[in-house]
Amino acid sequence: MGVARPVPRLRALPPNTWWWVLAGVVMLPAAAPLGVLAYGLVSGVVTTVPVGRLLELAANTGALAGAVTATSLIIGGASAWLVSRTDLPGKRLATVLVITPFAVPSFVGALTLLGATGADGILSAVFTWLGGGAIGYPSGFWAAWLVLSLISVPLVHLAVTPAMHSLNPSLEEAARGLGAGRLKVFWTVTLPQLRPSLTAGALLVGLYTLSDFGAVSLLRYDTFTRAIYLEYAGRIDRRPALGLAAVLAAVAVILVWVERSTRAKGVWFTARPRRTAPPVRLGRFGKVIGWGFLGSLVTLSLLIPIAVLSAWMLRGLLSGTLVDAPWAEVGRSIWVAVLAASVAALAVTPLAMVTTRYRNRWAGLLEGGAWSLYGVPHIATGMAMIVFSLRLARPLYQTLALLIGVYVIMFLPQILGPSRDSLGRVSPSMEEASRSLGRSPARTFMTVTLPLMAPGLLSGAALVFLTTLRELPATLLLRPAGFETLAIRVWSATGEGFYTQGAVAGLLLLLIAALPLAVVARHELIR
Amino acid sequence: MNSSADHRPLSARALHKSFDATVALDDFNLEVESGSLLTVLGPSGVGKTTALRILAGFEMPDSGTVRVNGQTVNGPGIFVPPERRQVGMVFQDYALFPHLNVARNVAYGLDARHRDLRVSQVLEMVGLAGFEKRMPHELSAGQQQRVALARALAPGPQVILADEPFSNLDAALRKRLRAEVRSILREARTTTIMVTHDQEEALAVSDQLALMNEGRVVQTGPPDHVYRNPATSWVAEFLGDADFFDAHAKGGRITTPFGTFPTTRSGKVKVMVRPESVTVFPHAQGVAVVTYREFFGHDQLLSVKLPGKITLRARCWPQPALAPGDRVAVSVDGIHIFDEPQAPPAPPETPPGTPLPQRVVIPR
Ligand SMILES: Nc1ncnc2c1ncn2[C@@H]1O[C@H](COP(=O)(O)OP(=O)(O)OP(=O)(O)O)[C@@H](O)[C@H]1O
Ligand SMILES: [Mg+2]
Repeated sequence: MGVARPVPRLRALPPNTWWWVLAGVVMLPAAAPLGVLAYGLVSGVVTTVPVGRLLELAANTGALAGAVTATSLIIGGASAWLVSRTDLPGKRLATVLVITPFAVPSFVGALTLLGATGADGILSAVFTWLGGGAIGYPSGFWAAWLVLSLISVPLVHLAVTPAMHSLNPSLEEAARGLGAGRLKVFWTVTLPQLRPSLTAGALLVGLYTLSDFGAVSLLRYDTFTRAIYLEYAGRIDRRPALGLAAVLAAVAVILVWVERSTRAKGVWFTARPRRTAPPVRLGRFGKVIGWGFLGSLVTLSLLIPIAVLSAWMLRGLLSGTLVDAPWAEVGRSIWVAVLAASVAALAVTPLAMVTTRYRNRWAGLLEGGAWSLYGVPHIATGMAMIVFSLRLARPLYQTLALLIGVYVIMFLPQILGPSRDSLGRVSPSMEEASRSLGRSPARTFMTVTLPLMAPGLLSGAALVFLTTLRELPATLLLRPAGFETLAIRVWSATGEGFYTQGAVAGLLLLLIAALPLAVVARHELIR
Repeated sequence: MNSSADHRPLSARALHKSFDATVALDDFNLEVESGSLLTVLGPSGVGKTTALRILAGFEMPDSGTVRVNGQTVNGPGIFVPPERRQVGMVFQDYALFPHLNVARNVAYGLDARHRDLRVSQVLEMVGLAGFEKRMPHELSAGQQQRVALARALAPGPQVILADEPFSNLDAALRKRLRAEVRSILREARTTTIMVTHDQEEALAVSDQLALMNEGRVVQTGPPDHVYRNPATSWVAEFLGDADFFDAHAKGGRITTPFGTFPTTRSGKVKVMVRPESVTVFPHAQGVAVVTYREFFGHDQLLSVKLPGKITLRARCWPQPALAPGDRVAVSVDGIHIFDEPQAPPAPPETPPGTPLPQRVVIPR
């Protein structure tokens, strides 16, 4: 009767210590790479890496990250605007087409570029046939920029679309009513509303570029990740590699925390307004331009890769150089991805329980640990785990168990996000209802909590599957001797110029990676 | 403690509970008779939900005992978990399992034996036969409410607890549903403890009322008894409209501007008058003046000023039309007398001669 209702408090039943114990057990291994990297930062860098080299790498990496971020922000922002704020026909198809390149690993992108150009490149062949000359091999900054920008567009698109949808039309109308022109409204009203999501998208892309190993190493652009691998592969002394990895990890962890703090503020803008704005009318000409833009984007980032890889495969079949398909690699790739996804689903459950039900310092610490590790470039985590297993856990060195464990702790936040979302919809009163109907805590968990959490676990597991499938640097460093996956196959074949073998493996990888994309709801891809 | 108390469906004694600095329950006592509907009524934040959650076993009291059907479920060294208490609960948000249909929600607490029979029996009782296959989100709020009730009733618990079961419903549905729920509970002969902070709801549906303030039960009894014989001025004011003024009792009577009333007390007292017991009629030599009028159609509320700085409200038949400024005669057909509450009559910092406030404002 007009009395303000207090916000319901989070409440949980007394016997829940087990969840804490399990969550602690899950997050304990995460201390290993973080600890080794911290050690590398204080001990390794100072003594082993020349400052000049450090600055050179920082400049190269920073330039690439900046350029890729700016490019993908503009393209991804434009595609998000087209599909969310205009009357463009076929938006659903457009959305699917724009976000599918998310499944293209950067090393497959690099393979495409290399396979398309050069003396026997596919595009070169087409150009020659048309009467032009062959295209030279691209390498270095611009090549890496092109590949990584195209792959990063879906990240921005996914980060910005919800905010575009929930723009409050009244604000823009109010500004127009106050006499502001279209352009002024855009700068003073629309853009500020989008800024949190643009920032989040930019940081995601920045982190991704920072940690990319496949494209920069195949396209020979000298960044941190490539330098770390070269130092590691070329020397007995592992301290310089670890030192570089530690520096990179530190930068990434800082970016993760910046991203997390901006996201908290961005929450305001994801709430749907009561009224959605009428779509912008494009007109016939505008629609043609819109689809022209989206069409070229999709051609560059999806159709050309598929066409080039298929052409190489066809060429291999016709010339007889393609003798066997990498079925064993397919099997291994799927096997490790399924293992990683299942273990991640098991491991994330206690973590999701404690971080959803408790807002205390310990829950914050566990979650913060998971997120920090997620941001650390895989090559740095891989380096740290090599050092760790060699020094402190020798029996684990180059075992499948270690590899799976590293995948799980690296990708945990991908499954933590969706599981927490669905767990958040299970009100504590549902569990209490089950208890008061005579069911034990364990039975309550199995019959009420778990079924309601399952959709989140499933889409999170699909993401972990996808990410594991296309993971390269950590796999390269930590795999058991001779353990070849599709990703490794693409990488090594491309590095040696065996584009036919690389293309077959790359195509198979794309095919398998497209499966989980279908499972995952699109808004869950970015977290 | 006599032995009959031991076989009450539920009793709580001397419960204490604090959350950090907040004292939620402070010597909370409650007993409920078999088959009756008891409503715990009190303003927001006095510990109603906390009490209910302790009874259900979701929260641990700092001290005190709870018994269900004579068995101690909370006591020194004893804690029986909720699943072994035989106490059903209807939640404010219903807490229906969204992944189970109506039949499976209701069957959730049942053993395999006679399950289907019991489910249809209970659904019949709440008037939802035929809704077995619906999912919770395919039901209206009122239907969800009744499924929640059916689910709690199904295992045949000793007591059903309900925390503000109607607060999520709009006013019209609320009135209809509370009558329905009451008759369902009657039919099922279930003992129920319901919590609310809505006075009208509490007066309308309960067999017993327990008024709660500041972590404890201040008065229990049938609603009309509590309404007519409030134990304290706080109860009187919380349960309906009431006006208060100070008076002096001497020689077995109290003299007021509207008449003399017998009393057994003497000395300074506090007099309470309910607006519905006040009648006014126009009279040129009347003692009172109308200061304010609110018209409701079926009745009107008049505020009148009497000598001695007494203000009363009168709820009466809207004829004749009276307006502020009119002189009226007042007759009151019953007053209620409280001893002046404060033991030290005046706070020390009050300078002598300063008049005490006419109406003691009780913080809600
Ligand atoms: N889990 C908790 N942690 C801290 N304080 C709590 C908790 N639960 C209740 N309290 C406090 O205990 C007091 C009683 O709360 P309770 O929820 O029992 O009130 P209520 O009578 O049910 O109120 P309402 O009518 O608003 O529902 C309040 O001061 C409240 O802030
Ligand atoms: Mg409450």
